Amino acid sequence: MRYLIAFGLPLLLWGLPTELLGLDGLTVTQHRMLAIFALAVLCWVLEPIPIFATSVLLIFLELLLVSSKSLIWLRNSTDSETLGTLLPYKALLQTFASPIIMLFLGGFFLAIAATKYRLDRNLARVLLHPFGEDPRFVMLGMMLITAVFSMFMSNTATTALMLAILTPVLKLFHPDDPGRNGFVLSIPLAANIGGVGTPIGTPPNAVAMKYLTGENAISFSEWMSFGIPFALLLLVVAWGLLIVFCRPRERQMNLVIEGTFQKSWRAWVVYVVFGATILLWLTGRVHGLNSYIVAMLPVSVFLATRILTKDDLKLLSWDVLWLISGGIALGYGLEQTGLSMTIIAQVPFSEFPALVIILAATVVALLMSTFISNTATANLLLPLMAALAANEPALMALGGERMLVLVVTFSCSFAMALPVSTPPNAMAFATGLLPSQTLLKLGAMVSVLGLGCAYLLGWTLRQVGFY
Amino acid sequence: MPKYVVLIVNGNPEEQSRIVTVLNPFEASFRIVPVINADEAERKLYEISETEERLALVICDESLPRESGTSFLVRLHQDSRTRPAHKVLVMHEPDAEVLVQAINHGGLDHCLVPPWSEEQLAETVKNELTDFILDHESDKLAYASVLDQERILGHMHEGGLTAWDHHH
Repeated sequence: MRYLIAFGLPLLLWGLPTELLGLDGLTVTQHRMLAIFALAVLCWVLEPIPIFATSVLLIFLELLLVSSKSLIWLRNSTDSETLGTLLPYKALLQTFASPIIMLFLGGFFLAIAATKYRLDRNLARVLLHPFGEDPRFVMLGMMLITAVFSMFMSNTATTALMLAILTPVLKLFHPDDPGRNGFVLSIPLAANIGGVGTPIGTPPNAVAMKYLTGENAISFSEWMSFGIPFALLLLVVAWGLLIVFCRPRERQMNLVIEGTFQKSWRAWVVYVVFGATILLWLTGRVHGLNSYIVAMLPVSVFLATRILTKDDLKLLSWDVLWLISGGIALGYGLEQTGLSMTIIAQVPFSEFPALVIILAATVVALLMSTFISNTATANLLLPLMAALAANEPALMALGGERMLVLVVTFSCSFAMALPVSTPPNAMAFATGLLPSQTLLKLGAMVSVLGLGCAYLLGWTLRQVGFY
Repeated sequence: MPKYVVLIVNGNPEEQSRIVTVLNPFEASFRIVPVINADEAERKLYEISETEERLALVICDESLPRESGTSFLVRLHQDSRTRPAHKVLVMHEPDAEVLVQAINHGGLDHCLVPPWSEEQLAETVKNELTDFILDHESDKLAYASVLDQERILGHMHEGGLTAWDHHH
């Protein structure tokens, strides 16, 4: 049934005569792109096939149906006016290695090397030390470390690490101690929140970077300059909620993380390259290398020094990279064929106040990503948001594309009310130590407060003249 | 419906029920199959081989009627379908010769000698099943609540992790 809906409806849509769709001036290419977009929506929502497989399928279908090297009968059937703009096939294939993908690849290399040489675990040990033995502050410490790690590593890998550190200690808590739930919940919340801190923190940010180019471009350090304070603010709010609703009764806890920093020359290379990459990302203006080029530093150094080998390459999450590629290709298709403009033009947005549009867009993003993948949500919504912002004078006045893309991207990352909302949630839930009501209640509260913080950020950036 | 089976082969009803009780907490994720002798075990294994289920763990008594537990384990170890299963032998008195045979030819993973406690058995089962799941199951997370959480999460962190933005 899912297959029938996900593949049948788009096929039906493609089969309908263009005039019947009621969209004025729709070209044949736009019509085909609309069917592809419908397929993307249905496949990412219903998940008849894995979400990254949908991504690859989208790129293939775009090549097949709307590219400059598409099937010859599809290109020659009508005159060029009604056919519309065909997409250059090279541009579609290039999405597999777009600079944004390379940025993420660099992030993956850093994370894999840090894990292999136990830098993450050792850093956690050192950083947690100052937080003492009062469970409330240990929780804050764990959350801060989780958030900071998830800015550079995957949210899921960070959650796995921190929960592995935490679970043996939680066994010592009394089974009725609400602090147990609080601790288990604190990790995924912090990981989700930390993801917004950097462009590589979570895949929706990568998708957003595609729309933040040209005059709207945001550099790595610019992103961090607002992303980190924003994440910290929400983190402290979330911690406050956990302390109120899941106050640990235990007076003292001793989290022991074993290990020492490795001192082989390869370990040192990992430490130095890790630090240097982040430093270079932050100082782009000084040396002139952009973040995409800097991302190649860990990739080339770790491979050249055999810190990461052929076997480690197999650990790379190609599925995540391709999920993003598909999103970029979908956005490119919608934009270049002009379909996103046509869709946006169907709704009389100018009749609504700009704030209502922002509110609606962020709430839709939050709700969608509560149930489906955050990245898929960003893939679907951001191309429309970019077109909307570029055409709505009222939105322009509030910060235009930069503002709308950022707040909607953040809304995608703040869905955390259900186990399926994000992989870190699923992981914490799978430990069996987290009752679903607790997750639902506190997760929903943090989601809503996250939206509030996103509006606050959008407003603050406007006040400081960022856009 | 669980994908994996834990087989308990024990001819002593009292000990059998003691082991089954210890295994109760694992029942949510594993099908527990108690049998009283090797023949019945073979029949069950044949039934299992006809389905999608797989044998994950055998807890076998050394003194079975008609046959030693070790020779049964050796047979399991020779069959490619049951070879991956982890094997625990319950002995009544320590016997080095039997043990060497079970380790060398039966792929024995763990041996319990009297007086073993319920806690010891529970810990052993948890350990062996965790090892099995880490080696053979792709959805390791689904077993985190009943097995060794720390090891499963640690494993996911250190490389087995492919799900960054995946659902379900």
